Amino acid sequence: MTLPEFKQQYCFPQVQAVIFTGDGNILDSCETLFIAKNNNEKSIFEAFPLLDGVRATLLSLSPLSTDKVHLPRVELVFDDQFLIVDMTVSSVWYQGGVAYLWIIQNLTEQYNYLFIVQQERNESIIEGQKLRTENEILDLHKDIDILNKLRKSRKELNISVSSELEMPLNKIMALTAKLKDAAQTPQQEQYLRTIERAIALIDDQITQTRPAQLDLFLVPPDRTDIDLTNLIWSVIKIYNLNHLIKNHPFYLHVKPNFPALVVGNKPRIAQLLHNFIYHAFFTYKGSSTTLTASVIDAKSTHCRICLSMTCVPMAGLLDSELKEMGAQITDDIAALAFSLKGDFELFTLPDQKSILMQLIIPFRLPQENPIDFTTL
Amino acid sequence: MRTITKKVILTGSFAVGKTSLISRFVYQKFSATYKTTLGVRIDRKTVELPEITINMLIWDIGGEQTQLRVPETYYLGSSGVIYVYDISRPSSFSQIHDDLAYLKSKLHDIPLVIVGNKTDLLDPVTLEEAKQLVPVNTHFFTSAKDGTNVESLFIYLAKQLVNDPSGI
Repeated sequence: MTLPEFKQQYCFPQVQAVIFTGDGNILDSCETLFIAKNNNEKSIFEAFPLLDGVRATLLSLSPLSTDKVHLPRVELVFDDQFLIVDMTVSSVWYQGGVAYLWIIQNLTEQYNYLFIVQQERNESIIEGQKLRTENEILDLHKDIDILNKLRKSRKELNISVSSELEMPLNKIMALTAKLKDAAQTPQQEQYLRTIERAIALIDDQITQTRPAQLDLFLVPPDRTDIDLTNLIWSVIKIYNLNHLIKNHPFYLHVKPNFPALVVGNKPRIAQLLHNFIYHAFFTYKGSSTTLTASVIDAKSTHCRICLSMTCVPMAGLLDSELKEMGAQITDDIAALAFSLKGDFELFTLPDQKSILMQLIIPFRLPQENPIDFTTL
Repeated sequence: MRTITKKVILTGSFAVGKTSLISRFVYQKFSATYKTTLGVRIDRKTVELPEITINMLIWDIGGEQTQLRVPETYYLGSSGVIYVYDISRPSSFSQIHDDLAYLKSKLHDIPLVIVGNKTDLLDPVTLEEAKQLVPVNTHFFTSAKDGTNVESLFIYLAKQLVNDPSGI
């Protein structure tokens, strides 16, 4: 092939052909798109890294075969001009020797359209994926809400069941204790032990629902007149039989100026008392307990009730145990007290290994019969 | 000092930050604007190792949803592969097993480095969670935006290319 033949065959607008040798010397070029020969001092492989990248493959081509290396959509910058080209390299005979023919076809305009389409496609896919992820997150949140509601319902059910069970269970416990004192055959004794174990299991289950009761705060907002002394006693009674069986003394001391009635949310107050008294009985696994109920800041329309409870563990407690239990008790009671605008404080008295729990709750007093505390 | 030339390809799904990684490594630049790579773009960077200089020809291959759509001629003469995915976009690594199997079938016995890019888009906790979702071992978690691990990634690959078993 001669140079005129070469140019006639390959050099069209938007097409450039370059012929080079295996060692990278440029033999000829149409220079339609860029000036290849300017790089004469350099090897074509140095001037065009893309050819260097496939050098070994190019040099393996033979003019005797029709094999070609075709690289579509190559993005190149020639003389500060951005082009997207298709290129093909094949091996040819040129001026009596083996050479390589590099044909570059400028398809920037055509590919620009493809570029826009691809850009839009990719962006829309990413946008779609983002949207799907956001929707999945929303669905997950909905599922979590449903789960929480189910959990809440289960807790409510547990609480209601446990409240229903408490009274009969205490009766069974009392009767079982009495039966133990009566004369029994060895077989009856064995039955009693089985009953006791079963009761203990049920009692544990009921006990475990207490923290759940605390979590819920699901009490009606109604405010009613409450006989607080009675309410305290009724809560104590629930635990008292159990307490008596374990033979640990509990003392309630109600100060004389204590109001007969207060106004408040009875279920919530009862719940708070449950949690307060429950800890005295159970957390310390057998304590000698004194609860003192008194009034502070008494006014004609409202007052603050102070319940101070001293618990002395029978077996004594380690400082670490006191600390751990103290944190748990505070968590259980303080949140509920706070919701009633009250305060809860727990003091440990290291010298006696005893606990002082103090609960202060504000109450309105019934307006029909206001008590004049100033005269007491 | 001896100088060798090696062709390295960056591949992976679209919009995972391949071009940005190269831009950070070669030009120390970053642009937050996404511009798709249509076919292939070639850059060159010299990496100096203690006893050898590597003239790295970096082929930035336009991202496709699967490697099957990438023209095979782009792989010709490759000495190393960097497979990039976007750690903040799980769909970008959903095809990773198939892609890696395909790459290994086309490119035998050459170093393959797996990179999770765009770490800057996730907070540390989410990043750790996202890493658990990736079904393959990732060599580097990078950020082309802030440059995290970008240099280390290419140095690591350079060492692999000269068969330096010490890696990093």
